[in-house]
Amino acid sequence: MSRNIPRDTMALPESVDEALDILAASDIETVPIAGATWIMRGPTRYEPIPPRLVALNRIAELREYDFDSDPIHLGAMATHDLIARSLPSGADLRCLALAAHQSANPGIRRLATVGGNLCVVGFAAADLVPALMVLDATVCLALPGRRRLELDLSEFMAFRRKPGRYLTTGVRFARNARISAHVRVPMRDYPVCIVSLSVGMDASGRIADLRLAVGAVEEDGRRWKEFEDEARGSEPDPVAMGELARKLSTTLTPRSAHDAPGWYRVQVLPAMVRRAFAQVRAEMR
Amino acid sequence: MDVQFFVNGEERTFGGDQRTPLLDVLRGDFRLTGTKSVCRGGFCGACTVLIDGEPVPSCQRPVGLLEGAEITTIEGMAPVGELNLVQQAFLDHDVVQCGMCFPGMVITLTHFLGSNPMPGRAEIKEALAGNMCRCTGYERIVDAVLSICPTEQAEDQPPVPEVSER
Repeated sequence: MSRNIPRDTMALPESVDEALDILAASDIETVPIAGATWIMRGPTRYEPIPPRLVALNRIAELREYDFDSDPIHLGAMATHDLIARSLPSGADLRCLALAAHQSANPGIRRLATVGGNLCVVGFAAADLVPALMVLDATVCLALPGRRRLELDLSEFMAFRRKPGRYLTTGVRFARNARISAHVRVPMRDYPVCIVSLSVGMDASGRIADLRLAVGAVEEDGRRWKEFEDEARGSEPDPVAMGELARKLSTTLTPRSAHDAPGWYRVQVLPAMVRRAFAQVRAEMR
Repeated sequence: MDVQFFVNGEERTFGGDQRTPLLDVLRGDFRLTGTKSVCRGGFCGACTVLIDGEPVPSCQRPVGLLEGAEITTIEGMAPVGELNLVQQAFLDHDVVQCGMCFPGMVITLTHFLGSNPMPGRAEIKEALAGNMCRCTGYERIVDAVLSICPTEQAEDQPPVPEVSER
C-alpha cells in the first residue's frame, strides 16, 4: 500500500547535467528511468523497485529526434511506438521498423524507450539492440564533468557493464543501401530468439556486405561475426543460410532463463535465420 | 512532494511514494476498482487506462511521472449509468465471461476505433495484442467490435458463392 512509506523517492531533473549531478550526489541506490517498464516489473522478478528513481521524462534533449536527417538521430526517450510510426520507409530501415513494431504489446510500446532498451543490463531480449547493431548505430552518452562521448553500439554493450555514472542521451545511425530484416520467436513474456540482419549484394547476387545480430540467445545481443564471415560470398539462399546457422551455433553461448533453456534458443535460431533471409529475398523481388 | 493530476476529469492529489504504480493509487487510494490488477508486469492489459489519451498499462506507470496528466479509467469511459459503443456491443453480443479483462479491452478498443473506425478482423486482433482474455473469448469480442463497424464487417466476410440459375 502507498501509506507510511517514503515520499521523495523520485527526482525530476530538467536537464542532462542536473540528472548527472543528482546521480553523483546520491548516497543510496538511485536509478534513472525512461519508460520505467523494466523497473516497474521488478517485483514480478522478485526484485524490489530501487529506493530512488531519477525520471528523465522532463529533459527536452532526450525527447529530441530527427527521422528525416541522415544520420537519423533518436533521443533516448523515443518510444518503440514513435519509432514504428515515424521511421522512414526503406529496406535498409526495415529491421528497426519491425523491431519497434513487434516488440512487447501496443501499451508497452507506447512507454518503452530506445534508451531503456539499450541501458538495461539484465534485459537480454531487447528487440531494438540487434536491429540497431546491424545499422551500425552509435550511442550518445553524457558523462560527469559535462563530457560527451559517442560509442559504437557493440562497444557500448561492454561499456554499460562497467561501474560509473553516465546517461545515454540518444542513438544515431546512417541510411545505407542494404536490405534488412528482423524476426523473433515470442514465448510467454519475452522473445527467446531474435535475429536482425542487413545485407548488401554484389552484381552477381551474392552476399557482399553482411551484418547479422542475435538477441535474447546470449546474455547480451551481439553481432554474430562467425556467421557473417562464413556467409560472405554466398548466395542469400534462406535454406542454406539456415543450415549455416545450425553449423555455427556452437559458437554461441546460450543463456538459460525462466522462459526458455539455452538449448532451445539455439535450436530455433536456424529457423529464424532462414526466415530473416526469406524476408530479404522477398524484398529483392 | 505531492503529485497532482486529473482522473476522469476530476483533479486529484497523491501524497504517497512516487514510485507507486498508478494502478495501486487508482484502486487503493481512489477506490476506482474497475481497473484490474492481474499480472502487474504490463503483459495482460487488465489495468489499461488512458493517460493523456493513450492506452497504457497503469501497473507500469510510477505515479511520480504523472504530474498534470489526464487519466481516464473505465469508470470515466461513459457518463454514469450509460455505456459507450464498445461496452454496449459487448453487452449485446453477450461477450463478457469472467470480466477481469474487459475494462482494459474496452479502453483499448475504444481508443483503437477512434483512430481506425472501420478495421478488419486482423487489425482488431492486432490491437488486442496486449489484452489477454483467460476465458479465451476472443472471437466473440472481435465479432462484437465488427458489429459496430458495419461496412468493414461486410468486406471481411468470405464472398457468398454464386448460385447458378437452373
